[in-house]
Amino acid sequence: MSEHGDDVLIHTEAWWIRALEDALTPEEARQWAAHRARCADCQREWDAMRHVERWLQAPPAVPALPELFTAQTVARATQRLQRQRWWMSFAATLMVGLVTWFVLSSLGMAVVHLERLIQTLLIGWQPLLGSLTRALMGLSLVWRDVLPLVAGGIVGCVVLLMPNGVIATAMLVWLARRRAPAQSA
Amino acid sequence: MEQEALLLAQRGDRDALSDLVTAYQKPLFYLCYRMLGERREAEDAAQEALVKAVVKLHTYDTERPFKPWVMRIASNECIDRLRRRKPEVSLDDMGEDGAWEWKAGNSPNPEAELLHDERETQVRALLETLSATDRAVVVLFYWEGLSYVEIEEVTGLTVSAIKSRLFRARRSMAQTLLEEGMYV
Repeated sequence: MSEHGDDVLIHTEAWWIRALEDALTPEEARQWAAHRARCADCQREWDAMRHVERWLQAPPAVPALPELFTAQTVARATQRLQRQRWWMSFAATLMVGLVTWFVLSSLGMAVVHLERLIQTLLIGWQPLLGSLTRALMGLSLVWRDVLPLVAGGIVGCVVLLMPNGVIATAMLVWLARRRAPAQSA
Repeated sequence: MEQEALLLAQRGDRDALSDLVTAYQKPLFYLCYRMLGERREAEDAAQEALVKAVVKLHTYDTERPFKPWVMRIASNECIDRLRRRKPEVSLDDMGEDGAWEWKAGNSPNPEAELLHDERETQVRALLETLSATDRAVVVLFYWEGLSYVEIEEVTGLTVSAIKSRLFRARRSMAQTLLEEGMYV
């Protein structure tokens, strides 16, 4: 690779990460040293980063925990758990209450509707039965007067419902029978 | 911790809770202090992280190690607190706003102690210039001694993202050093 190509590669983040992790091959390390020798900006930044690296190697001192820390934390956790349980019980109770209310109100509505239906049937059946009884009694008293009317109605229905071919045939037979005595005379 | 002990802790058993807190309070406090830099806030954050861990124990996958899970809660707690803070802190202001405490020591070598404390203050001041997530990655890598894979478990970032963030954090700190004239 050309020197310019190497410089492009050297300025990438991946290269610097590998350099900081000491993961460069001996050849790459030589290239890297040569590049820094002629690039003042890279050398300066590299030195500053190594300096930061050295500073970060030593962890800062941490003060001791207060004696009551464990007890306070346990108390806080217990309190939070109790509060969480209280809210869960409250939510569960509320949910059960709402479901119960919904079911009971639905049942109540169904009972009311059923009762109204039964009442309507009972109240409506009595006048209907009375009217029917009265009509039958009236018909039994006047059946002789009504009989021709009923017979006419039946015949009318038969004629209306009978096919035209049957009626026409019956008419022809009837006419033929009327003409037959006249011819013989 | 054993699964039974964790279940007991979740049910509110005080002994199990106490064991859990005792086992993890130090690493969590160390992490919080190193990320937040202020003792009282670190105590509060560690305590809050432990309480959240106890309350959320039912969501913990027992097939996985417990420590990264609890450290993740602590790390997220610290990141949230850092994000609520002022976005930038000047290096010149350090020591005046009380963000980093100065601890008097009784070292036999006060000059070396002073130099060490000064360097510690500068490192912490540099950390203040980083974003909350970058700071978490730096603290976990350098001061908690976690590997890339362990940091991945704690932060949820990929290994390549961790390497990239770590590099950018170091570069940013180096540039701050150069700009502030702390390193020539």
